[in-house]
Amino acid sequence: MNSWPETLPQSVYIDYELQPRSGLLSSTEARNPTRNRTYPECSATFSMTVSAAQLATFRAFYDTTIQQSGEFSCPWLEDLGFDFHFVRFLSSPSWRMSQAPGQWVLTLPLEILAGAEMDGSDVDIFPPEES
Amino acid sequence: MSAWPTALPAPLRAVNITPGSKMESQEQASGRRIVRNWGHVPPDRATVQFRIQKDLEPEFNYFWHREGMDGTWFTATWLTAMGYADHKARMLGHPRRKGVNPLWSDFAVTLLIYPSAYCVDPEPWPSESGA
Repeated sequence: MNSWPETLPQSVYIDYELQPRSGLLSSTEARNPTRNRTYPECSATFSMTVSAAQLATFRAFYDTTIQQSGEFSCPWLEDLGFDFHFVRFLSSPSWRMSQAPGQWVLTLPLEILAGAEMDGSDVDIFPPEES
Repeated sequence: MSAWPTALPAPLRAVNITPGSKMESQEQASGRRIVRNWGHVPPDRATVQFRIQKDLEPEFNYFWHREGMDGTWFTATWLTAMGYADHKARMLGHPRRKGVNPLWSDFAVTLLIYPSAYCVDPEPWPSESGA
């Protein structure tokens, strides 16, 4: 699996917002809600400040490495309590010029998906329902 | 082939860029989201603001009516500062005049930014004389 480039910010001290999904067939169903996900994915938005060179690195990663839609692993997920998880873009990222000269604020709309621990003798697999 | 008029200023620092995405995502009944890439990458979309002095407004309006309104791609030196080395831009929609002031006006413009190699200028409207 592709991993987040090492030259980009690795810190957990970035702005983020997490929104777990309901895991129901219809989240507005009042009487007989049907659960279709035992472990629903989590929508997340991460923001970080990057330089122009880092932005070019991110652009190459986004366009070429993951082809805009591939999944990748992030170093800060573990610190947020998501061990053995990976992420995928929910929609297009965006960036805006920061007040600091030469800096950009990068916003990443991602979804956090469950992975599996595959190393060691004690292999615990918590797979999603499909795949 | 057209160029941003040299008399007109570069956009203000309030630049917001969304890269063109060819990702199509679809949510399954199981709650799982499948993604795929479809087609070619569309142009990047940037929302910028121009602060046009009163005496330059006729020039801006002239450029908009002659070049911007029919979607002609133009080159601009300030595209480099936005991270685009060999790209052209064109205006999308109508420039929205935000602040009106005896001295200057702010125009909010949505730009499409594309590599120069991909840019195709629109066909001129056919005239009766064929010229």
